[in-house]
Amino acid sequence: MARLTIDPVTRIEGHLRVDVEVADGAVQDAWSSCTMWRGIENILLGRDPREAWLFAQRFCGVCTTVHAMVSVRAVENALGLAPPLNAQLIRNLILLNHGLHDHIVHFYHLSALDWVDVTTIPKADPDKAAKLGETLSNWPGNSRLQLKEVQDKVVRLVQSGQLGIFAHGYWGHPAMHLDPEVNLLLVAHYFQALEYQRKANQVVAILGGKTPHIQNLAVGGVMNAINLDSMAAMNMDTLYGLRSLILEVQKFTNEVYFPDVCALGALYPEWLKYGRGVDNYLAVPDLPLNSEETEFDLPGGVIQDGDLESVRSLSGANDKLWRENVIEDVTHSWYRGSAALPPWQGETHPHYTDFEPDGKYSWVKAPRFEKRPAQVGPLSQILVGYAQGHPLTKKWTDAAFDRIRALGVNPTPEDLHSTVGRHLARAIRSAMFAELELKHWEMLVNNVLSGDSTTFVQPEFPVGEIEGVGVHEAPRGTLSHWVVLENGKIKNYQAVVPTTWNASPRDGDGAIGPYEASLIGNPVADEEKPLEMLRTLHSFDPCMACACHAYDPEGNEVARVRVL
Amino acid sequence: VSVCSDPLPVCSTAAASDGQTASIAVFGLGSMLFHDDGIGPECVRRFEAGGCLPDTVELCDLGTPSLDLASRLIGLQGAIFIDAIKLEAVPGTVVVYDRDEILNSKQPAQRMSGHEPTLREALMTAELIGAEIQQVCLVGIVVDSLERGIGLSEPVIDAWPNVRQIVLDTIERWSAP
Repeated sequence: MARLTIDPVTRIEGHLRVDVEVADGAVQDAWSSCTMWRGIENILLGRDPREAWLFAQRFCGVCTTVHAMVSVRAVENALGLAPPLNAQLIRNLILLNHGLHDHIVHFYHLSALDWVDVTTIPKADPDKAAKLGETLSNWPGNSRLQLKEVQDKVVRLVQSGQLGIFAHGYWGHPAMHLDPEVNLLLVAHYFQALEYQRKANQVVAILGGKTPHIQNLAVGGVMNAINLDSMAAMNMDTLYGLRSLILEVQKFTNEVYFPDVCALGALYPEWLKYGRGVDNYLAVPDLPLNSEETEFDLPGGVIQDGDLESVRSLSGANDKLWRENVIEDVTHSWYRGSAALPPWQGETHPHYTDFEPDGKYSWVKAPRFEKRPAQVGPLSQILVGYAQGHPLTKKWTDAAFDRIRALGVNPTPEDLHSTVGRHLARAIRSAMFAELELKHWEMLVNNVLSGDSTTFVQPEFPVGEIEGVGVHEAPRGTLSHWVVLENGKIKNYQAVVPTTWNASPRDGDGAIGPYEASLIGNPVADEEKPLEMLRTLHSFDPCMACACHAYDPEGNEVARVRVL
Repeated sequence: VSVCSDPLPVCSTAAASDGQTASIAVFGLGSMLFHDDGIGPECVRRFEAGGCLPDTVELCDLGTPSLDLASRLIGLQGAIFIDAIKLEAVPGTVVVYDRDEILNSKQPAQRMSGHEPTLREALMTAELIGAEIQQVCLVGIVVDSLERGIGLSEPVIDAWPNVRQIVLDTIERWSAP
């Protein structure tokens, strides 16, 4: 039996190490390890909870927005404070656009090249590629001329012998089997996606004042001034400027990203069977439609054992099912002891042992829901929505299945529990977001036109101890910040982030985490080039920076694969 | 070091997003939660507070960005990155790397700065998507501590006048006809 180590796994923030045992061309067992510790929440102890979000958004360099948002939600939850409707809608528009930006970048720039062999592009026929593009959508960027231009760029790169940003791919791998024309089309979209993710980010910058690190939040609402008669405040010009950006991002999502992922699913149907892993799913409701956060546009829920019939709804951060069932186990994590504590009582005392597959082997704790591992992320959100008959989720899931069927593959909801299923779920979620952001824009405009310009209510902090939890269904899944306040100061602060759920090591009962479980059974055609493992890991959109709270300036730049 | 009293532009991201992108940008990179790693963002704050940058220059604290950096370069003619670097040298030493040095760094295991792989990839990506950025430099400040915690060590913060002068000189050189 061969033992493989991939370290690090991601192109960004590389602190994820994965060890697997391979026999008979498939993975038999797996260990997911985060290799750095930083215990960053300790920075917040004793601070004023009104400024916590400014620090929390520095937990990660990529997902700054989500930590800022969930931090103010946590403090508001502790206070029982309901931010005004305008504030909810402005926050929603930021979250929707951050999500679209993140999903577009993840698919094209962080994972598409696991499936697309750039080096075949010189062989592509641009005429044929343009015709193929026409069958997918009306996107003007699929013209022969534009595709030829991209092909010429790639040819120049290949001829120069320096592949630049494409230098680290597993080119020519037997698991890559798309036609050169499909590869050309997807690489053209790789370049175009850079422009459209930027437009989504512009919406975040305009509403948030700046990105990264938005500046407009406050415990109690947002600091955007709304005044239709002022040039200096948010007025109709600003709102219509946002609308045109929103429409552009929607067009790219509907005509490029969504069709591309569906096509990938149809062209790699075998990957609808691999990568299932832990099939307990968790998602929290998000995009509140009112001040009190009792109605949402994204449903939350819990599914155990992959049984969609068993779905239970989560009504929000105050739902007992949520509040009372999250624990973090450290039996196999480099922390003292083996206790499984709820986050409000969470402790972070490092105890490093070395990598011990049967003992402690990761800086990531093992979060558990109802004492069991749970997968989080777009797939969880789509499945809990689909299982509850949520109309918008159903609409876009069915649209994805129709597209895949049109290309000759007959998928079922069961196929979503897979590597490509996670990509599909992210694209389905993006199509939902593109539709919802126009809705939330209209809600904001109508509310402002009705004469409501309130964006903030003053928080008041009681004497004594209170606790709260903020939740957000972030691009990588359920994100929660748990805060204990004493006399208006932070007494305890724990962030339970999506990648902690997914990259979790084993727990005290020996139950393995989602990354680990998803790798078992994955094919490995070439042990020197474990492309198939990267496909499955990347389908989770791993980002270890906040999961293990790490920063390593001496870290390695490229994925290093050792065959032990 | 000259003293100036002109009001200074704050981060002009929102202006840039309306398509009025400045032709030269000064970007601070780093995490202020890890002591000296925050020197890049700190320099941006000091420029905002009175560093005498011409008001056509975009100024932004980018934190620890990832591949997003590439699209930041679209529409720019020049970009100056201020970042913490780890080097066998006295903390606070300032080292300037030009575009070729960033692109041709042959030691993948030893980054020039904590965020360098992104910088290098971002430059390559920007080039590939047709960004016409002509001038790039990295102003690196050798760090003392990268432990978790807020606040810069003294020799590192003492590098500010030096960093400021290098940035202003660079902008002047790039702006010369």
